[in-house]
Amino acid sequence: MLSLRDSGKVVGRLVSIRQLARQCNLPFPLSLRQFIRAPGCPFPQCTRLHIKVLTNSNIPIETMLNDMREVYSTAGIRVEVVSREILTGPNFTFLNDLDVGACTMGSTTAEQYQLYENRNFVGANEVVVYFVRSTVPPFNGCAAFPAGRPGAVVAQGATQWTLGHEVGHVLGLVRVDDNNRLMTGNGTAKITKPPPDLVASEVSTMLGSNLTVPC
Amino acid sequence: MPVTMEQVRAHLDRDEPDYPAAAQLGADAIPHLMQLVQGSDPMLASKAAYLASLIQSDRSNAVLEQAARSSHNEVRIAAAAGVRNLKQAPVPLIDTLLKDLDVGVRKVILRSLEVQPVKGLKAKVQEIAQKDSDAFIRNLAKQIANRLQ
Repeated sequence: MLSLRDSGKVVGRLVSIRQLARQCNLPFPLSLRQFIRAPGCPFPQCTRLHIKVLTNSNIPIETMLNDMREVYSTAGIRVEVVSREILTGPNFTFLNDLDVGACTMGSTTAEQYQLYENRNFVGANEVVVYFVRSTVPPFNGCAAFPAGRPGAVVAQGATQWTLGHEVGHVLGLVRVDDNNRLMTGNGTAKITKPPPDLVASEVSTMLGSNLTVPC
Repeated sequence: MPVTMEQVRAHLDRDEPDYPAAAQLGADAIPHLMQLVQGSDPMLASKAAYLASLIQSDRSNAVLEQAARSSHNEVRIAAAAGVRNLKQAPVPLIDTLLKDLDVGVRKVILRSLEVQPVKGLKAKVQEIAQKDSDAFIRNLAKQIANRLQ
């Protein structure tokens, strides 16, 4: 069974257990198992992530996930972590500084193709995020993926919002010129008034993606 | 008009810099890039090093040489990657990177030589193919040595 943490069902500020029960139309006292298993609660749609780590990011992955969840919850999307895997060994040493070329959607390098072959536990319509040491050229992250293998790469020096931003690209969002928004193209380190916003058209795009599924 | 640090940062602060567009800043950006390479933010320093390699300036080499001496692996990786963009990469710079203790740096500089072969390095790369401590590096060096003069 998913942990409460990985279920993504508790987002942002702590709420009381009674409020959680009420949100999900569940009886109080609340059963944790029932809460985690309750479909469509508290959000009707889910993005399911698989975290695969070659190098841990400087900003803890849990921080990035919490920040991503805070933003995605405004779109009614729960971010569920389905699996976590550490990728070690000589095969991964040479993918840890990943050649991503121009990081162009629809075009991937041999190294990206090789890394994205690692899809243990990944089901249909689920997204893999690979945490690497660096990309070549240097980017905070890159959301170009081989056909049929949706995912993104996040570099060690990424910001707290890079994960949400890159998965946003995977869900079909494009860069904007607005530092109040998650998809700012000016650098997520420049995001003002956190948490950053998603606008209505972006929410529609995300909910329309085949990678956002009923919870 | 002189290029300001703000203009440079406007490009490099992006999560996904548009490096070809940033390279249009030209040689006037180089002093700012040198400053960033020497700064305390390794992500920014790595982006600055790579951008310097795309600006075809006689001062680009100096920025990469500085980056190749960084204590941060990712900055040295960027220097190794940048070598492939230089019109004439200095052999001492390449030699430094080929001897780097980090296997990722050695991989990336070998990949750069694969993309942009440089004369005078065949013997060096052949030696790596024989003696490097890492099997992947030895194999990669062997493939690349065959293409060098």
